[in-house]
Amino acid sequence: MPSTINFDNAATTFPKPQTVIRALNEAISYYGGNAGRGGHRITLAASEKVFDTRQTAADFFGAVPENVVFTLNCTHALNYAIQGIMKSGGHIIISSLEHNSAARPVYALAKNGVISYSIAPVYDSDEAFLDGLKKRVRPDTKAIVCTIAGNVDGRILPVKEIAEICRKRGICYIADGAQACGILDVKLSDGINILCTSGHKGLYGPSGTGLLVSDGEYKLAPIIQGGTGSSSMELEQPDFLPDGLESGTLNTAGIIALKSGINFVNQKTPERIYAHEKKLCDKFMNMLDLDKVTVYRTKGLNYAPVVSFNINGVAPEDAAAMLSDRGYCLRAGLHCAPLAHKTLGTGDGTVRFAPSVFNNECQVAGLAGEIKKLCENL
Amino acid sequence: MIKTAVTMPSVTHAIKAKRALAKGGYMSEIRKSPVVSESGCTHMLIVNGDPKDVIAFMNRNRIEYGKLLKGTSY
Repeated sequence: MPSTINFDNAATTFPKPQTVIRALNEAISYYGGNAGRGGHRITLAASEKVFDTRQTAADFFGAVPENVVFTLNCTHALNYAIQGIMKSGGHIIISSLEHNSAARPVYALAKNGVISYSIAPVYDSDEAFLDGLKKRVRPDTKAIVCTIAGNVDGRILPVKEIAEICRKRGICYIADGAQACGILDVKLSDGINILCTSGHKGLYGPSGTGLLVSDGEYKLAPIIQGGTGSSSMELEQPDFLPDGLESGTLNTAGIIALKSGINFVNQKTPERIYAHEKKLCDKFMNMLDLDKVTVYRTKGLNYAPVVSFNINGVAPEDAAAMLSDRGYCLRAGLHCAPLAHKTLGTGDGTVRFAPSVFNNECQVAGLAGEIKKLCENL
Repeated sequence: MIKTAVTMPSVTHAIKAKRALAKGGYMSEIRKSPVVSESGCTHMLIVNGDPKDVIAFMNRNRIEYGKLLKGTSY
């Protein structure tokens, strides 16, 4: 049985740092109170720990702690952001690289007649994309949703320029940071109004953790109502953050461990993590026989450390299954992002190579060698 | 020691305030307020310090709070 090497870290990073594992264990062992509820010492101890993560995340992204909302994942955060802004109608623009976590809530609102939407195509030049974005703005455009880095090919979109378009027109900029946070230097000061991200990917937290980080500029109508431990006499949901968007018991253990994940990233620094993963991506691409393998990248563009490819003549799911049999775990298919595949012209999907800080060059060479063998046997 | 009791919008605000006050030399503790306000139960901070000074510090440092509880001794 070959050893198992994970190159599917764009879906969720694994393994996790030992500090995260220890924090999770400690949280379950010692911080079992229901954070934000009650006034006894067990609940207050849990509340303090949850706040520690809130402060850590706020410092990491340049926000104030009360504007950091804990969610289950990035999809959850994007739903809060999109539905919260668009609940009363209007027009929204999304890029053609968006994951279904953004595209589906937009489509559902449109299908129900609440909103209208436009898709701004992402071209091989940022200028053309930005022009298309501007052309789609209407007087009733309330929000623009753009991924910071596409989850299929890692393409990095121009955050500051998108922010400028939004700022000048009073449009809310919702950024999907799932593939960027922890790898690229993402800050609200870049002009992002609402940043949505997962905690379990580049931030190395446990699954079941996500973040919505707001600059406080735009109010979000809640889409879930319930107990918050505050203003409990009111039947109306609190209108302040984080309580307004944090109904029900939090994933206390996951949130506490997420702090260790963010600290792990802080200690390594996103710059060094990016450099390490980019080096692995470069090595991987350099070792592929490009007569037999297609890599979906365009020269001159910026990419997060993710590589989408196909072995020519082999269905991506078959390629991933064969690699899995040899101990290499890569995700194949549409990666829940059909719009992105339409944009890339990869309607049948791709295989995605996504390293983490725990992968090394030897593992990459092993994977490339297996791909070479597969190509030779075609 | 004179103490000041102020309600807080949420436990998050209470912890943030507690830590900011500590940096300013005011020790405090978080409790559930014994006074159920019009909007329901809430957390409060009991601060070691004179109400006038504590409120001035909170205003100066833009620390959000609910209201000062009067007539309560701790």
